[in-house]
Amino acid sequence: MENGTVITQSDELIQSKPEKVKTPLSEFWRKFKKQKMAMVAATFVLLLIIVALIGPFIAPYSATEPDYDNILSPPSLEHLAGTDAFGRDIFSRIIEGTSISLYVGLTSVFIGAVIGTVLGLLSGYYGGRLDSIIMRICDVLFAFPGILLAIGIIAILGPGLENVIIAVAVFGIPTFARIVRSSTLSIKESVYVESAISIGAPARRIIWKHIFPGTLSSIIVYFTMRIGTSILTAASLSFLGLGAQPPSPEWGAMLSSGRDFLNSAPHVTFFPGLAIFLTVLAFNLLGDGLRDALDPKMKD
Amino acid sequence: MGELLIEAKGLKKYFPVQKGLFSKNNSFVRAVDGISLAIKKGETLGLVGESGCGKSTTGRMIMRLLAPTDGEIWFNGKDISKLNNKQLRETRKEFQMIFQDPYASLNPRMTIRELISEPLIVHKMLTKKEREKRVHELLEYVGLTSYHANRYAHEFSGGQRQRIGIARALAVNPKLIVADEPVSALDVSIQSQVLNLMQDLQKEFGLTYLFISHDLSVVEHISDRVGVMYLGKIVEITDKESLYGNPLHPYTKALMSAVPVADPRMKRERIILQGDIPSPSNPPSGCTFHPRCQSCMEICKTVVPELKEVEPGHFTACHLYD
Repeated sequence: MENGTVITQSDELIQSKPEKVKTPLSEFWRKFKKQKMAMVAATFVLLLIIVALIGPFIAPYSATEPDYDNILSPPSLEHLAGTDAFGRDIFSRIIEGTSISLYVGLTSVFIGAVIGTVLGLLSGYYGGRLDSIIMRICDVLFAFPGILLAIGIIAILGPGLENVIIAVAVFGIPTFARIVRSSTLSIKESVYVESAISIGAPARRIIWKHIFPGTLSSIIVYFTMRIGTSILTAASLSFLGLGAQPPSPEWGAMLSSGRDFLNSAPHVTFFPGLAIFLTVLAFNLLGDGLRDALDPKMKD
Repeated sequence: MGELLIEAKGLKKYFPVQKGLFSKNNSFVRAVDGISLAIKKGETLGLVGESGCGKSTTGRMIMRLLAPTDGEIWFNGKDISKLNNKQLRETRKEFQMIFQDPYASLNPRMTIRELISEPLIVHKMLTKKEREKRVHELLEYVGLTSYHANRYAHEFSGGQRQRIGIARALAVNPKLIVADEPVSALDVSIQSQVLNLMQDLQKEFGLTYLFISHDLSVVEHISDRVGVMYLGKIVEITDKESLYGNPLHPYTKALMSAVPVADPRMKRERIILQGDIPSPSNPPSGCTFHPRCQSCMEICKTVVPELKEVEPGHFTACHLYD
């Protein structure tokens, strides 16, 4: 001690520098931006979202108007991805189809995530009989192969894009419920939840303010990963003729319409397939990056 | 002093032991096995004992974080062991807890402001503006400053976090504070600061403490009276001076002899206990301490000793003083 003072209570406290509060968000961003693959994926996803929003304005041709002079023409400068059996520009159709795929992917996962999260939180927090009932229902849903479950739901509801969303949402519910339940179980035992109980916080507040924020990171990661799978499932359903109906430029439906010309005009299936592939890959890579950035155990 | 704030009578907590998938559980871990204690207003009762002796379980039952298997807890004339959930939540503003681990007991996703104002929000006390003022006031009470309010717990050191924990416990002006090993996770140099802070706050707000610790010198520093626990039971309870000056129970004597003394020339006999603390799921018959006791008699193996007043205000559960 330079001036010979005794260590008082406040000495340990004054050292912290002012400014620059490290919020969880800024910490996340610091870790996330270090991951190159995830940044590329995030940029691509951002691009997809922009294309989905302004698609009809930037597409060079109409997505639905047939052009019988240019049937099945291969990729050229005029038609970057060639044209299909009705002479429609495939590149334009892909651009306009982006909004459909993203819409289906996002809404179905969102619905599944909301319902699954609520069920998982209740199931994990209250336990007991409620937990058993919710988890057994999830087991039943898990026992179906995903696509079969979706086909079954569509068989009941009838084909169409809205019903595809519901079908894909339903089979996302049990996975979200399980993920959220397991993190709820571990957070429920944490001391800070005990501390919240000890100050007299009601269950609603504990679940919402203390447990839910803790499960959020695994929800976000799984949400992102799930979008890719959902887009894929929705495309498969459309490919089977159960989802978007022609002439809608949905990517799966485009694949389906091109399969008759696989040998003579492979570009009709190749480009929509590439669009699905890149989109799903981007969401999965983004999910990986988010997981690494949100995992509190991974320091730098 | 004089008026009782809290009184526990015959408190028990048995945890069922899950044996297998299909067998009924018929054995129990007797974490706390019939404890009675009383704390007067403004007093600090220390509770010491080895790990696993049930001192934290006792604290958690008094906080009603665990429901007692049996027994009564009278707080300010109300039996809080019988309250329903809603009544209990409302009563909780009367007694608050300081936790052992300041790293785990603060939600990492909340700012200090949110943490400290949470008890006020939960109990619908004060308006938003007044809460803000109260948070700053509390931060200053515990030796922090207002600009810490926007930060998150991970930006603080252990001692600072424990101060935040104390501020959080103080927010609703509780009467009783149960401190479960509040300094054992801290560096020694910080321990005394936090202890002194707790004593200052006690004087200022007339708080009553139940102070749980395994550290005898910490308990001696802060307590007015001390209870010694062994295997789910209180074996000796009295005021600090007579416990540290004239321990009666053989277990207390052994504990006292283990406290280091800052005089290398001082010779004294150390009582080294043989064996380990027995399993609380299968405690020894009679006096639970008898297998390790140096003055064990025949009667100790069969008859459970009662807690008796041997000297005025000095209770012990030992057949030596029958």
